[in-house]
Amino acid sequence: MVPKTSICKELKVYPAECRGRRSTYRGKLTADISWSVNGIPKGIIKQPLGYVPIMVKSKLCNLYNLPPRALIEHHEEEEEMGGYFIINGIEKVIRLLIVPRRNFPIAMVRPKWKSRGPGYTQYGISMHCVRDEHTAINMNLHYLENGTVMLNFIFQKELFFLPLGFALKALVGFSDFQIFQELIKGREGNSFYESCISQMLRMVMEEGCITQKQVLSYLGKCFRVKLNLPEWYSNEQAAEFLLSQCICIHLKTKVDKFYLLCLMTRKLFAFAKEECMEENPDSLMNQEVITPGQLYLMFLKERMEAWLLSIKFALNKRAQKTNVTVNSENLMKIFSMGIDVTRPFEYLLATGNLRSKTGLGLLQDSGLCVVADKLNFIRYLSHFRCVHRGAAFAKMRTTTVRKLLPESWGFLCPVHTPDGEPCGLMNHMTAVCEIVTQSASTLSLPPLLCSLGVTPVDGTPSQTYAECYPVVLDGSLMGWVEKDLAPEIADILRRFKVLQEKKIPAWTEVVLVPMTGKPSLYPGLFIFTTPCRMVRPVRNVALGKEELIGTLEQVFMNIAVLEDEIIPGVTTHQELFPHSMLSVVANFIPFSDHNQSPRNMYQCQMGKQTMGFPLLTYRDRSDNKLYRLQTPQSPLVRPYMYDYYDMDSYPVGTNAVVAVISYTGYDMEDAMIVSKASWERGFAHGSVYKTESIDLAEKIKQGDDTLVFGIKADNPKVMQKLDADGLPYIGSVLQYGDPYYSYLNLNTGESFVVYYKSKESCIVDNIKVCSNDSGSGKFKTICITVRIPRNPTIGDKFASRHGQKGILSRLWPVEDMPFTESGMVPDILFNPHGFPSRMTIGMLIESMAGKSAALHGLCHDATPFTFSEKNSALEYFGRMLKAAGYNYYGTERMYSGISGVELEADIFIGVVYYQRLRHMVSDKFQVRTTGARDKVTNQPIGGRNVQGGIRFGEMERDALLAHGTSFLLHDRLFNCSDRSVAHVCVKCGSLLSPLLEKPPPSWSATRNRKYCCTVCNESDTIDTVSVPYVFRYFVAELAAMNIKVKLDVK
Amino acid sequence: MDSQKDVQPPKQQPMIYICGECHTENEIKARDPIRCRECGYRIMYKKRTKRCILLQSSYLWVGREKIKVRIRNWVDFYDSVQGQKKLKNEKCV
Repeated sequence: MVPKTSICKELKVYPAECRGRRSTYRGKLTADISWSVNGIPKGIIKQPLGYVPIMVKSKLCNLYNLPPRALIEHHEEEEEMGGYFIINGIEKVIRLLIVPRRNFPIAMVRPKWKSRGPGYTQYGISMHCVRDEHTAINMNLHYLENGTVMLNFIFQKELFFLPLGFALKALVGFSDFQIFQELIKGREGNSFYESCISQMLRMVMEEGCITQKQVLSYLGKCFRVKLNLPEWYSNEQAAEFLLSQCICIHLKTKVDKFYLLCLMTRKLFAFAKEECMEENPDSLMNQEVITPGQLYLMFLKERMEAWLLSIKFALNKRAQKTNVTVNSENLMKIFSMGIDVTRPFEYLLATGNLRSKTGLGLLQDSGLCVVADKLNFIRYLSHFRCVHRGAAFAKMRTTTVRKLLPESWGFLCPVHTPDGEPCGLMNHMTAVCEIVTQSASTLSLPPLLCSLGVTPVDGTPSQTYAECYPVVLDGSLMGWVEKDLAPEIADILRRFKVLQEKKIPAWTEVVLVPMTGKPSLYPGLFIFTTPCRMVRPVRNVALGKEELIGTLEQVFMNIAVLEDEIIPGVTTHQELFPHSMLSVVANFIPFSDHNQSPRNMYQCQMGKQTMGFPLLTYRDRSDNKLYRLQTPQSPLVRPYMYDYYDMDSYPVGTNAVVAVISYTGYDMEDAMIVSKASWERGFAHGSVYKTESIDLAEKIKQGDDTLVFGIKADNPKVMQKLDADGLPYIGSVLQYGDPYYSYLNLNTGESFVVYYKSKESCIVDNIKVCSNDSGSGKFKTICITVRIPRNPTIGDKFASRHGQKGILSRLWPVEDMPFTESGMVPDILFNPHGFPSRMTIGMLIESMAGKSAALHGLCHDATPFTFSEKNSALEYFGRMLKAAGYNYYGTERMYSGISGVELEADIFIGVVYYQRLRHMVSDKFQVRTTGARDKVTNQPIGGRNVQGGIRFGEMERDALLAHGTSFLLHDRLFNCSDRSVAHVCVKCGSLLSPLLEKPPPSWSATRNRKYCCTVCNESDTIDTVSVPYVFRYFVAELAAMNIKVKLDVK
Repeated sequence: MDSQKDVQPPKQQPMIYICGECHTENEIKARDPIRCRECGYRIMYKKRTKRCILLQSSYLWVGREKIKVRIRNWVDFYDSVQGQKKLKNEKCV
């Protein structure tokens, strides 16, 4: 990828190296620029445009198509999935964003539209037009009160309005009568409608535009100011440019555009007269997503356009100064002056901010990329399944956009959305949902449609247009089909699609929006083959095969979930699994159908915060922070999808023996007790890997690069702790204040020692010495990875897989723990009060299932929807327990560990898979006695990392006041804060005027000097008062504003 | 008795690093370019220390005598212990 003429065996750079060295995984972008002078081609120049980031495992990636063995050889995971970029060693994912469905007219009501001008109504038809190469533009049709239609589009972030009549007449050379007839289709004889249309056409006529050419030159004249076209373009050419770049850009011919505009106008009139209903832009059926590749392509196109413009600018500048002969050498020189594409790309991916002139047709310009956090594998996976509604909707006051709509069934997981601010905006795709990425040629489709009985646009169907459905293929009007024939055609198309006949791609969406006779969705037969739509597999009952269905298609289908729900003649499809409505993360919850639904939501969040075993290549990574659970286990109770995704390679928890018992009081309020013996044997032991990259090049002041890692032999304390290269020994323990690394300035012979500045002691895990891309880098950049052992301590957070989180409150000695008749001591004591209100029956079942699994030596399937009322899980696992000689209900007699007395109640005890969450006290505790203070106010500063205090705020103050503890209040807010003793002049009441008197030269420096008021010129009026230091500052500030503060000191 | 003076590492003492790709041991000085001489790979790992971490204390017991030594690695350790023994033997003689 970055082959350099350097000395190395392998010229290719692999992603693992970029991660380890904290560089960007990128490739050189070379453009073949063909150039011509006055139409005479002059050949091709190869010009490098810079480096662009490469998506890992994409076709251009060096890992593309490598087998698992080769992946491991290149320091990757065995099943590396790719799909992200590596920017400065950090894995970045481009977010999937929801955008309106492309090339589909959406009827909308927007009260805001009324303010667009006089006569505007709230009715409009909007269309997100997207070309094959993903250039997008939004186009609206507005309905005006006088029955005319305005076309509205955005060009270079500016809004433009154009009466529809002009657009229609500019597109085709039809006579006015022909245009009139096309618009009136399906509504013949409606006099209001007819008058509206003739008025629109008359408006064009009144501007003196009768022929197509006249309209074009009129449009060109009006718009060319804004189009930035070369002067030699005629008005007609300018208008042509406008039509091709702004109006229905997804269509190639102008006739197609004309027919589509007519279709949209008809829909608009039907909508304005409330003959059809509005479409919900928040519903998934009218949406698709922006894929990373699409964003990448759009951005690349824009950068290349910017590059061309910069070349044009350079060429012009050059031409003004001197007479340049245009030959390849000169041109190459100018090309090298073009702006680079490297930086903007890295900026986009590193920050997620889009710096763009056009905005790429997106609603937001930030938050486009997120870090693919490898906290654990579940979290990592969910980054790639996340779909965001867009940052613009987060600020909206209304909650309509956040609603879970029935249309998203099977595509978006109803459970896996965060609670709180992004609730409902950030969704996750279900496990089976895919996004169409391929596109296929649709050239064979129009003839096929005609052969099936579709009347082409210029033909006349056998029934009136009102009795016909328009047929629309990828946003282009194909023709008309009679009402009775349409369902049949849709069925045939569906059969072709499922059986892969007649070159109809499997990801086609065939939607017949039926006429209902009532105001419903605008009828028509819509066919989509475009990429970026969400599709999911279901079983086609008639054909017995899997079929991919789209979001719009699904609304008009009858899909059964279970076998016994199929109604012959009505049901056409069946879900593959009942749990295919869940996302990957939600699928990992055992018996989730037995839990109260919010608990499953909580688990989806917590599963992503678990300490686990995120990767197998710890040695090759330089992530800022990596967590690792030292002894993870495979769960005894696991859903089907756990094995399907082979999660055993990346486990996230441990099987723990859990007794549901209220034992000591240390398990109140979601606290849990862990047996000290389990803890001593390494229960849930974890560690944190932190990597710090040190680049000596950044430490250089005035340009001399004489800094090297090394150690000066004058400090024995440092010598003992650091190696001869100035780096710590691998495996040594670093404590606060220990020397961390040291470097020398070879010129001056100075040595600098950097000390370890964290209060937590750590072990040096490895040190990577990094070169640069070309392999010529000196000993300058190193990555020190340290490992911080994190045994569970009191205050660490744990959770089962059912949204039951708890804090470790006590490590209880084994001898005092309750024990069963067989002498078994539980690892964890869980308070029974956690169950009644939360209703996580799944956890109870898991406990029983885990117990029976441990007893019988097997793993239980915990897939949701396998057990039911009739076939209850309790019965199944109860019998299993009974067969093993245990109580049917999973309870046991237990004995108190303190007194040895048998406990009266039967204790529910079983095996539950417990996760250790990443929130640990060691990262959070904050204490302060004395420490740093603010420079200006002299008050203690805040912040954990600077040893600051915690704010004692207004409400805390209120509490102390209410308690009447005024001494404590005074102590907290004054003595422990910024108490200071100030001098005040009793006479004039000023805090500022008392100054230390000036000593005569004869006085010794040690002599006591008096304070003296500069206003009153007296020194015996000075007294001292203790005031908050900020008050003095405040007085000084007021003085600066010419406000005097007088203290009435008595 | 004090062996502190003899260990004065030269500034440009080459150190051994291990290539991340082919695991060859490379001797690299402080100002050398970082590149494996076998495969040209650009990441080197610092070698795990030979020094015994348990023996960090600068006091050692040789026989019944407590002596102060500086231990940089096992070789040093061995040398110093041997040296002490020799001294002791000489004394005895």
